[in-house]
Amino acid sequence: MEDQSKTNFIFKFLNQYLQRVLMAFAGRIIPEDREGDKVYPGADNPGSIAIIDRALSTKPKDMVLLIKIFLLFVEFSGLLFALRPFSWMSAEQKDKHLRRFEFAPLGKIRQGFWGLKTLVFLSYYSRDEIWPDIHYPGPRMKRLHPDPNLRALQTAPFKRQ
Amino acid sequence: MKKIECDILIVGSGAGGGTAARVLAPLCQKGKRVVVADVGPFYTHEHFTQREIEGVDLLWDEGGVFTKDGAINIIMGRMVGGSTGIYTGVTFTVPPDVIKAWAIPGLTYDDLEKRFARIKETINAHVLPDNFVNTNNRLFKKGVEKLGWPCGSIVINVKNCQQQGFCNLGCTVGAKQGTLEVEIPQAIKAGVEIIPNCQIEAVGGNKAWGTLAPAPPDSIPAKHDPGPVEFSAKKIILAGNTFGTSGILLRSKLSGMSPALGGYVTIHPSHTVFGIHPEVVEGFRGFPKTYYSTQFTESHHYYLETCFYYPFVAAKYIEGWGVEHKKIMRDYRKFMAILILNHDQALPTNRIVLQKGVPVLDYRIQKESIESLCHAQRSAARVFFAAGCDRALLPASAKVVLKREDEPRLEELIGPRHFILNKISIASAHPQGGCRMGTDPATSVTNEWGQVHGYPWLHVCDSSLLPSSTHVNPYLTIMALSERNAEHILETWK
Ligand SMILES: Cc1cc2nc3c(=O)[nH]c(=O)nc-3n(C[C@H](O)[C@H](O)[C@H](O)COP(=O)(O)OP(=O)(O)OC[C@H]3O[C@@H](n4cnc5c(N)ncnc54)[C@H](O)[C@@H]3O)c2cc1C
Ligand code: SF4
Repeated sequence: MEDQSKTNFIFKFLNQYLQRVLMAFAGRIIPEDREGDKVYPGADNPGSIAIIDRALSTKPKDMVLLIKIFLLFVEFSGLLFALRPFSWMSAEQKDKHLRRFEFAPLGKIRQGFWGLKTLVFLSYYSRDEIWPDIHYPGPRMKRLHPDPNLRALQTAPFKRQ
Repeated sequence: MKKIECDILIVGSGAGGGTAARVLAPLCQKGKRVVVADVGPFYTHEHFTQREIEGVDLLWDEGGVFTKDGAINIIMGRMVGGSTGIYTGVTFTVPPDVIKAWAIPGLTYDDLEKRFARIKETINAHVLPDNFVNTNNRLFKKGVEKLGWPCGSIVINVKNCQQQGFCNLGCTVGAKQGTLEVEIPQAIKAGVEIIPNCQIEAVGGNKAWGTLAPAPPDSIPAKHDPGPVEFSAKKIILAGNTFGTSGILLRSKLSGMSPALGGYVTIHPSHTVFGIHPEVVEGFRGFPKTYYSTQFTESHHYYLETCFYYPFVAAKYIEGWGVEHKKIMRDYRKFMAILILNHDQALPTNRIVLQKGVPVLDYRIQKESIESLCHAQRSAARVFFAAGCDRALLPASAKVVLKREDEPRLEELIGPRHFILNKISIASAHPQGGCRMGTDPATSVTNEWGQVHGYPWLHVCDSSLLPSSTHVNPYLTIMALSERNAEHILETWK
């Protein structure tokens, strides 16, 4: 759908707008934080979003549509609560908004939040560069995967400060 | 449409189908054609890479199967070898009471016990030596014994295990003795043909219809071109598991089918829970599972077993998000992990249904299961603290992180009011039932030999046969029942 030439990541399912909303979402699920001088990157970077886009390519069409609708719901329901779309909110407002989804009275809404949150975890913790931060030494075997693009997504570097 | 004629068609190559293929393989020597069709690809263990994101293509819907209400994530293997390609190899024998309660004529515990012993020998199931017990497991034993609870050693089916620790992403060295390594190679050697990437849609009148998809890169292709395919066979054996087999039968709309079809499904609802130890544990290295405790099996219907998972799956099972969750993950190497398995009741209402032709599990978690899982979380917290952890992470808790000083208040902090469906992670890797065995077609789909009532050419050899939960990890029971059913086919072959 969009070739993000700026980042060299290929997006087939998420257009630029949805990428931006997802980036805002991912940035609250796994925000950047610091301990002393060390900066731990957040999941709000194109590499993580590209992994989610890749994960969507293997999901049934109905599920992809539901995920897209849910993202738009997160974005525009912000207008009701904070008079601005989710991606325009402050960090505190975003967290408050996301808690509404996490604890929503409707199971389907909680499920949407859980599903999207899980995709963000996948996109972040499957990246090699994150592993030293959690002291995970990674696979014991260095084996290639038949899909070089999938491997490239996991090994693409974050832009650390 | 491609037409394939054979004597026996086996649909599915996991614990059940792989076993049936091994038993029926000798027919090939008598000039009979035995074919195994599996919707999954045929990878050898050389394909597995020990990476989570690359392992998801071994799963049904890349791991995205949920109960209809979205509350429980069901994990199943979709590959030649079925779920045994990604299982851990925990080898339990079903309690005799369970078999007694099934009351299936001719199915005795004595008979099963002999089969268990034989199968265990073939797949090298044994208690792992002490040097296989990693720190996570040692801590579990320490915690459980400190509490005065029993701690058993798990029997595991591995050969030349190199303790790589990635069993659930596919064993890279072929040490795990699942059907991919044992039964399927034996069957191929005897002349059985494996047709991977072949999804069977429906059966009827000694025929099965399906579609053969192209082989993904790095996999062994079928000998046939992709496209629609029709099988004709004297016997068709369904071994696609609770989902696959029930789905095929529901889509087939065979006349006079039992109203029990798809029903009485149990799943062993489970949680993976974590404690955080002050010392480095590195549970991700070494064999993941060596101990279990039955302390609350009789009274509260659950087992506690050791386990360990990789970063993404661990992150998914920990409640919360944001900086708090991220900081917890920074202690990943200090995690201690326990798997909680509840044995749920078989109810006719918990059933496989079709949604746009796809089998979906309409399952409502029972109040008893929720209470059991909450009790189990409190028990796991006690084990963590007894083992020296200073924090515990339990999903149905008022706090994401419980500290040691919270221990006296576990009853108040962990309970059903915090067990919020669709918010907390619940998983299942043990779906059972859907085509349960029995004598009465009103309450069972298959007879005492796994033959579909009223259809002498149609049999079932997989987890869908189980009339109720095995209580324990089920693969050995599934293999033994499939062996028994397949032997009956062999003995009565004309
Ligand atoms: C991660 C994981 C860990 C586990 N660990 C353990 C353990 O340690 N101990 C234990 O006892 N149990 C374990 N289990 C459970 C155990 O693996 C299963 O209970 C067992 O394999 C089920 O056997 P089965 O033959 O019914 O189905 P499966 O082994 O799942 O095989 C079914 C096969 O049928 C194929 N199929 C389905 N539908 C179709 C169709 N329409 N057309 C063609 N092919 C089809 C599938 O691709 C699959 O290969 C684990 C399961 C998982 C997922
Ligand atoms: S621990 Fe043993 S069985 Fe498990 S993946 Fe490693 S070598 Fe295979």
